[in-house]
Amino acid sequence: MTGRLRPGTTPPARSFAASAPRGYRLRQWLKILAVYSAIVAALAFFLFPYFWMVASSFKSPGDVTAYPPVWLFAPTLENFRELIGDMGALSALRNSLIVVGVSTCLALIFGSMAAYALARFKIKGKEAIALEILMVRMLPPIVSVIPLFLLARQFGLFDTYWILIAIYTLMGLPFVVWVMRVFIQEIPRSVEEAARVDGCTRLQVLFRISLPLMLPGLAATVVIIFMFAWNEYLFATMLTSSAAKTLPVVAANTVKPRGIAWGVASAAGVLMSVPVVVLALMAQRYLVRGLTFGVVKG
Amino acid sequence: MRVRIEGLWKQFGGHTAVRDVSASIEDGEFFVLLGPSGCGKTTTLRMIAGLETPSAGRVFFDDEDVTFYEPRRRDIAMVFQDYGLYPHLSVVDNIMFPLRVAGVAKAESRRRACEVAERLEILPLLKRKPPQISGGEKQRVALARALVRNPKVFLMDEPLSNLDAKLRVSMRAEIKRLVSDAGITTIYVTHDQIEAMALATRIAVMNQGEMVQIGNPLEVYDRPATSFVAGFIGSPPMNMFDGRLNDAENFEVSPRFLGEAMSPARLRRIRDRAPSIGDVVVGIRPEHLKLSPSDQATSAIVELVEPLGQDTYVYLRADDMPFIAVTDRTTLQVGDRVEVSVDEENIQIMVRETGRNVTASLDV
Repeated sequence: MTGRLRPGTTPPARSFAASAPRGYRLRQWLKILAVYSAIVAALAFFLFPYFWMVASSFKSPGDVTAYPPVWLFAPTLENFRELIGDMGALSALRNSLIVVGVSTCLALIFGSMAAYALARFKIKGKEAIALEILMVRMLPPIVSVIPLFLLARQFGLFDTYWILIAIYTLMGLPFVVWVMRVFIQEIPRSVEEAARVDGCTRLQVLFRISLPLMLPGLAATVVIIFMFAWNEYLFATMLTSSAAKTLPVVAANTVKPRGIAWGVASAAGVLMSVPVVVLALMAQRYLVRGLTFGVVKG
Repeated sequence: MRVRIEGLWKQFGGHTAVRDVSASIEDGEFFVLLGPSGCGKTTTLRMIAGLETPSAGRVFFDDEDVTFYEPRRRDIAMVFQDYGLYPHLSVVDNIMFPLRVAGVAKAESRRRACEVAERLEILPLLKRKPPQISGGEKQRVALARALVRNPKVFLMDEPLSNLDAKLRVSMRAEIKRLVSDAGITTIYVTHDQIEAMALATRIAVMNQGEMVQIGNPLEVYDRPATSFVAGFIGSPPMNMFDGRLNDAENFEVSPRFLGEAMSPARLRRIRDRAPSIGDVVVGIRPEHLKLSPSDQATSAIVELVEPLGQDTYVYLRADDMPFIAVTDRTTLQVGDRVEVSVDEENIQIMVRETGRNVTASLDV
């Protein structure tokens, strides 16, 4: 106990760590070092594949398959040119953005309204309705893909935005309902009632009080259902041929009978991941709040 | 403003929460709805607020029928049990909210919010958000939000029940001061009879959805209309014993000192008012029992003494019936024998079957 305090000699400004025994300080440093090493290791584990994909998308075919892997290479836009020029990735990107954007919005609007009703109103068989909605989600897509294909042909919806928008909305809906229901239940009733007494119409209550309080939940939900729909491949490949083809289908086309075009595949990966990354960054502030929602309670 | 409710009923599914409740609350009155939990007092308040629609009956503000008005059209302010603060708005925005919704300019709203905040001593909190302040502070913010608008009616739903005992007493006094300064008609719900006695100009005692008695606090205390009111109001509660009153000369109750205290003349008057009376409940408040040392074998015996400082609770037993007396400081000890005496006008006699207090109107 070398650094032991003598009575009356502790100036208040001195921090505890500074006046603590040396062994203790060393242990603190080691702890911090361990934490940071763990963070760096985790980041490397998750980010390296992404880095490798981005790097590969700028490599020439020779560099991509070089062994041992090359770290320094002459960057080329050849992969992107092939992806956009020969494979029509830009129109697929547009299709994806429209289909996924519209279906996410629809799922969010209808899902939130359903969630509000299920959370707040007295409805007979409320739990049964909620479970029913969840069951849609539990059905393996492969079961419904053939019937949907036949329906789409019959109604002239094959290879249109409409069929994909409808399916992605239906797939996102149960998730929105179940997540938002919990978020809405977390908002104390008295908060909404106070607003009504304070002079708000029901609609004003929704926009001035309920929606801002639901925002963290909405942000988290948006990111998740957007990603589900954005990555969806099975329906997209079965129900479109050219006009409404989405990005995952194009990306999969990089796997060709004569081999995998690694450079082009990486370029497709980069192109596909950009909107998701942007969305996640935009929602980040709310995502963190969404995870700590309990703290917001009045 | 005068608030009048007429024959209010509220049913939830098969359950009747409020049963034919009527009351007229005068302008500037502090009216307390008092009752145990589940008695319908909060539902009644919510119907006055417009947060519940009555199954039957009418609500009038002055002479305007507001029964089916939305809350916002009633010009009321309400303090909720869990405060109902807006968690995403700062304290000052919370207080300004009713003004902003009503279309008052931002600067003016802020000025008035600060004024109220100063009166409630929450100026240092204005920039913080509700989750960052303590329960007592939330309570003040909720009050400030209610006061800022000069509403026609104040509604408070157990506003003090989430505070600790000490804070509750100081906030109670503060609410009384603020409300009487503002001179606004107030309807206040509580299950705490002491709070009700302390605040009210009139108390309405509710039980099982019905309004059992309306009166000023001492009236309700001294002349409870039913055995429920008698038992609910007062701490420690009134001592109650089963008895029989066949005729003026034949009044049986155990312990016997109660029967001996009643004069035949008084019993006759009770019989005159309630000719068919038979089985009764006899009630006596603990502070109306007078104790004097005795050595007779028939007198009461002290079983427990609780010296609480100001008062002393003495637990006694006589004729095998336990009861409690409240006295000043005393030298009585466990096992002591005491003579118990009472004044006949302090004895309440209630019909056992209906609970009606037949002595309540005797001495008016």
